[in-house]
Amino acid sequence: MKLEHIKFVEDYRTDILERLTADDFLPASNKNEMVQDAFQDRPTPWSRLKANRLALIGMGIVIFMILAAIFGPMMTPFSYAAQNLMEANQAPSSAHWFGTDTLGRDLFVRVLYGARISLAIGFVAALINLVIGVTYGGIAGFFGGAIDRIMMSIVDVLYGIPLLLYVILLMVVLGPGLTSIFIALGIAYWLTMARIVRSQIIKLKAEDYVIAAKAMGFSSVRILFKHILPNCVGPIVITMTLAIPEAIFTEAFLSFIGLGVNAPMASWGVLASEGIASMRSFPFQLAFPALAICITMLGFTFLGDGIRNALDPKEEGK
Amino acid sequence: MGDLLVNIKNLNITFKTFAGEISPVRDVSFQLQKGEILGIVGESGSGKSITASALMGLLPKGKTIITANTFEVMGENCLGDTEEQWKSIRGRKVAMIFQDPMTALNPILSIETQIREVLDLAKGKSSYEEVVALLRQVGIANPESRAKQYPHELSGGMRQRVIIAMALAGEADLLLADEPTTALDITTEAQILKLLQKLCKERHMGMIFISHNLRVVAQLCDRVMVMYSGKKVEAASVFTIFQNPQHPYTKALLASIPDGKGKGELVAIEGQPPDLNQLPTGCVFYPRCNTAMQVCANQEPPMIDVEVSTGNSQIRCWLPIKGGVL
Amino acid sequence: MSTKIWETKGIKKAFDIKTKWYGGVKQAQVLQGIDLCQVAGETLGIVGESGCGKSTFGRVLMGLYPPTAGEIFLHGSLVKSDNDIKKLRKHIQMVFQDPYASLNPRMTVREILEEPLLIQGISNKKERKERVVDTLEQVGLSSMYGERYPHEFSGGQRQRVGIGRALITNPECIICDEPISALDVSIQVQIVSLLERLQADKGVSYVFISHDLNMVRYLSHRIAVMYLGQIVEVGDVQEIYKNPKHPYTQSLLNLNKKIEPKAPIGNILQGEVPNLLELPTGCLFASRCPEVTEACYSERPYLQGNDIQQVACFKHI
Repeated sequence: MKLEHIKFVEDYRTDILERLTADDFLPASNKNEMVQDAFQDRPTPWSRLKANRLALIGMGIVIFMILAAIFGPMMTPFSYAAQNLMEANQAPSSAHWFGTDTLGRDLFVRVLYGARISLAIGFVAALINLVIGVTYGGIAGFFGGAIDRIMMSIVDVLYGIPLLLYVILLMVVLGPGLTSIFIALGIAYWLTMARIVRSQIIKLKAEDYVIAAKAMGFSSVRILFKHILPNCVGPIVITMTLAIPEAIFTEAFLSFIGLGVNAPMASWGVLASEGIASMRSFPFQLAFPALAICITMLGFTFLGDGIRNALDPKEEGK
Repeated sequence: MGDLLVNIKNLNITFKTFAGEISPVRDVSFQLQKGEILGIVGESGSGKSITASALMGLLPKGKTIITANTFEVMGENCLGDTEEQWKSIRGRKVAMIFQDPMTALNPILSIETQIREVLDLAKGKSSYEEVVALLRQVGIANPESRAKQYPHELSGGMRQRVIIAMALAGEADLLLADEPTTALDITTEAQILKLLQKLCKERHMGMIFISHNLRVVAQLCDRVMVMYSGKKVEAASVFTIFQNPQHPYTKALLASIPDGKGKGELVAIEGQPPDLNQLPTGCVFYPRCNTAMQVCANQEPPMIDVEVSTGNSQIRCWLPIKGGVL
Repeated sequence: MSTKIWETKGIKKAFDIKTKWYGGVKQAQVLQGIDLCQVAGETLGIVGESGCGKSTFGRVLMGLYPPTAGEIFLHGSLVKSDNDIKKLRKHIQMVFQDPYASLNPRMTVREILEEPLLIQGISNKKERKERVVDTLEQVGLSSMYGERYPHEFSGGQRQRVGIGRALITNPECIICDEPISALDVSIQVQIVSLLERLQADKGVSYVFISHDLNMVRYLSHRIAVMYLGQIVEVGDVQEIYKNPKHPYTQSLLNLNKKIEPKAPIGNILQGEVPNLLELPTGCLFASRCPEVTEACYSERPYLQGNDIQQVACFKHI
């Protein structure tokens, strides 16, 4: 190899140079396989979610709570209503993992039942929230113009009302009970969802692919269902996921002030309320339900945030 | 320091992403003299903007790993500088102009306020008259009233001039311009380019001009570095690059620009730049090169200095060695 | 004389802009009266800087915006009712600028390409599938890619899908609204070559809207230069590039010469661009024209000339 006249700008490994032969400088033969458009394996939202540790923790908590709520009570021998005054106010032990309350009921199983109620309330309220919010926001966003302005003005006014007072009022009128809670929560909290759905629809209406669909001649209805709504799923899921802890907490608060579900049915709020009375002497009776509320809320919040980050359009594509 | 404003040797920039580590800049070396305009050209994914950001310490500190044999900006070794150390350089010794003039200005502060901020930082004091003088220097008509206005009252071209004024206010010797005219109309672009040309000449400033617009780079720059997928593939005087390019990518790029070419003269480069997660072994341009050889697939080519009458060219290519073997 | 696919007469378009928060509404005159037409198999390039109204014209032509005044003719008949617009869209389709925004991220490539067929009423699933595979090959994508989602493709590939979507119903004319501006230089030529090939194979006409003078010159047979919503020069592309008559065209071409190292940057237009909300009565280019005369301020010139080249300038009457 005659390389003396080659001016290398930087040192190059002489062993590589020495191994080269004339054959190496023949035209490349197998290039065609490589000229194919390389397929970019871009991160999907699911993989982004998986990479987010907090979101995974949140998801774990949520799944755990759901499973505990469904299967937990079957695994303990105690029933949530069984009173045993002999064993009242017992500290946590191997027999009663969370101890007992003032009426001798096993706290562990009551917390598990509480999970059922609180989670159910959370999900159902979020669902009602979803239906009302999506319909309302969808109509406003899709039709635009005067309809949009009127509908959103109503939302703006309702936003000004402190919703907790509103819910309390409803509960007083409707009377205590699970159904009343569903109704009250559902009626009060759809505002955010409506706003989000409406603004998402407005944003999507201006997207090129929606305009392209219009240019192809599709009917408005088809555009709404095929192009707009599927792309609203992201913000809707996020809002729902974050609405659940809000519903759970509101219910806990209502139960705490006595407007929630009836005894002996115990949501976490009721347990917390009972626990407050004996906070000084038997703190565990408050600690466990309160902890359950906090952890569950955190779980949903982490998960919701994680979903929001995973679906962030800024990280998609480009 | 002498006259060397920028001295970079074997720069590597690696990002820690969710998919692992990727290196958008690999083994890049270049220098800039005072009064010289260096153009860095490349398409998206070439790493040119990231390189410029690194020169101002603007890459996210936690996620970025920067290594180099030499990394001197304005004569000082800046490798591993902290944010504090970078702050003392930014705006004063090195100034940067970005692509989007609309987001680089604070919408709630008047032009005068923003320019005075820079003056205060650089000189410790500022005055309205100085602001007006600067605005006049960058060619803004009615600078007295413009100074009192807010960014949204100015056109895109004027905002870019204000940004240039801010760069001058700090009396920087080195200007980094990252696609400064890409967002502007062609007539406004010409005005800004003429302004930059004039200022660099008058103030003997060095400028690194990053762009994918080859026409603009040809008009403005003294030397040009061509980047492809994170690597420096060619560096030479502007005359060599545009009249006598040596690297296959540079040649292919110039052949694919329709500057008055007739039908049949325009040749597209097949394929696309590689994914940074799946870089080919050997030469990074190998899959798309129409003069590729066997060795190009297996071995990274060395950087070779090629003699050209219009000015030597450094290329990362196996072709020059072919003659030495056969 | 071949028949015209479409023709526009006096198209004007104004948008309402709120200037004051308590209700003042002014009109921005985006199109001042556009007369254009197109025959089969040709590419009509529309160039101009941003804000000149070229994209707006493209959308008016597609029936996406109703014009404030003027008429559109499809094969000689007036386009008025919604039905007429529906018919128009059978003959004219559109390719959009942003490859990242013009495809529904929740639909596979196959679904995206199938959609236009559904509206045409092609109910036979097998036939649709064949057309999709056919079109994918025509735009240079493997049929394997049909089940992938847009975000898995690069910009250039997405734009190919966009072209395929416009092409699959075999329209006579495709409006390309800045189809390559968002792409890398080396990919731009790929797409332009593809458009060229498709025109040779299928005889489709293009309205190629772009601010890139050189690409337009490469691809077009005829070209219209727009400034502030008005066509200032129109005609055969070679003739206009060789012999530009309007001062604005001249200045644009001056800034787009062959790439030459250290070439002078070119003549710069002085003067302010008029505000769309308050257009002057005279020639719209008067405030910046290097050859302006008194007459230019009082009256607005209209397009005059022959079949090869028409100019809107008092210098050339």
